[in-house]
Amino acid sequence: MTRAEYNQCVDVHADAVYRFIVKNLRHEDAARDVVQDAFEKVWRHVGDVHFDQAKSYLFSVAYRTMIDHLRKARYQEDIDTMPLERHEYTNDTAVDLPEILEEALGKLPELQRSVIMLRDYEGYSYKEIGEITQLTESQVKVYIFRARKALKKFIGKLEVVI
Amino acid sequence: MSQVQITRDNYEAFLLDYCEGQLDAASEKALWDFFAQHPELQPALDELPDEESRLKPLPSTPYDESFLLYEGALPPLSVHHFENYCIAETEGLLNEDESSQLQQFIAQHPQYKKVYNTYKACKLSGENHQVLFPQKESLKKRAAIISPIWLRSAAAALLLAILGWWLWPQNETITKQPTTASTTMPDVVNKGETPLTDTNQHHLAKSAESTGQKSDAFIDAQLAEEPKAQPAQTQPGNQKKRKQDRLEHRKASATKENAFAQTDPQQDALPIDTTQEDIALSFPEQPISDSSAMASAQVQKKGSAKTKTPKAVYTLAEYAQLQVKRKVLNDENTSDPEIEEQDVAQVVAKGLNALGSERTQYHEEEAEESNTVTYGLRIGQLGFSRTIQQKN
Repeated sequence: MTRAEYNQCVDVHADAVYRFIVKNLRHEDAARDVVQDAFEKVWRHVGDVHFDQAKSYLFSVAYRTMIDHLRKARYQEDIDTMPLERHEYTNDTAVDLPEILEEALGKLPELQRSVIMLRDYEGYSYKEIGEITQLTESQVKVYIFRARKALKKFIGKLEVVI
Repeated sequence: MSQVQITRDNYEAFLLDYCEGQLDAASEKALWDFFAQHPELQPALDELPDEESRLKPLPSTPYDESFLLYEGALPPLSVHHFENYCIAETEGLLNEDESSQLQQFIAQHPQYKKVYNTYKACKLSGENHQVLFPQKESLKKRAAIISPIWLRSAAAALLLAILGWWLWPQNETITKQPTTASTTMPDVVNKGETPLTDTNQHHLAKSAESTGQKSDAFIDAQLAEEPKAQPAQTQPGNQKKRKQDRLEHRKASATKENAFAQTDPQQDALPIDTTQEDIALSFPEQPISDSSAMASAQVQKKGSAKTKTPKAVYTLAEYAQLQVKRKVLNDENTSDPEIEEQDVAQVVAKGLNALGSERTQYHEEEAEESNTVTYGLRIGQLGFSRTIQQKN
């Protein structure tokens, strides 16, 4: 990958990586740091990465960097131990589906959140998600199914929201 | 159980069966009758867990992820697998037949349509969550660009260097003479004499290579021969007087030079570049009045194509020039050109000898039989000499 291709990679994928990280960490400063670190790591290996594989490689690096960050910051304890609540929305509550999904996403365990975001936001296949998160395809599939059930459970009375 | 008599030995077992819901009605009635007859055992009843804490049989929990274990065809659509079908539909895993089966199932069971819609709505959409990285430009890598300030500074430095080189005295000019090992220094002795020939240069270079074998033999190269032709104006009587004056003046010069070497400590402190090895020197014809050529020194390291002017040699030559001028101006016998020339040669050599310390040696030898005087000078590993036929 050349310098121009790397810069093009920044233009095309930086927002997506940042969204993936910031929704996982739910901390903008930390997410920016992770994205910076991830791109720096990509730049260090820019000669070894083909442009066609840059996105997958970038997300892999970003994901691992995020995991390292989580381990250091110990954020994960608070997030994972948070019970998945069932929200009851009434007709009097002004609700928005994206907001509810955003909140529900934040309640998911980190791994489920990561795989479902990579699936829905980035459109990765199970295999690609497995390469990024270092899981098997079956594991990815299981986590995505669990995440969707958890989101459905969280949303609750969806007829109010929809 | 009902046929077993409850006693003080087995009432605890009955009590545990009661907690686990294993007692039938008759046994439970017998247990309560037993405790009624033995009120002292009431504390055991108080320690029993309450109704909520008692173990209850687990509800049947089917493994709903078995849906994911199927390879190829999915299990038949049923109420049990309905939600998995909904997720599979959201994931795009159902083929047309399976999708139509799902839609037919929903049509037959409208109460499940809400669940289906919920799963469809749970699919995340990036379009609704545009998140932009705020520092995207900082991630980009640009080619190194020389700052105009540094560029201007570099240009100014280059200009100064060029000006310095241009304005520097020509005697400092580095020359490229890859095949000639020579150092030009002022030597008034050579004035008007035979110039340095190729043969002399050959001996000079050869002597530079073999100096280790001739450490004591000071004369390595004979640079020039004294011309035999004598000026027509020279008178025989004057020649004899001139010889005597020359010898006396030589002795006096040696005394003065030794005295000078001791009275000029600042010049003595001039550094000698000890890195200059294998330097071949020669004294070409250069008039002493030519100050630029006087100080000119060209040095080439033996076996190297590089040529440069060592500061030490230049300093010695410059110093020698100064002392020559002093000598000439202060000496009373400067009216005779030949004496002047030879004295100047001695001063130059001795000045170099004094300043060069152990690396510079001066030697002169007079041969009575051949009526010649040999002047020799060695700087470092290089040695050269000059033999002058004394005039009668």
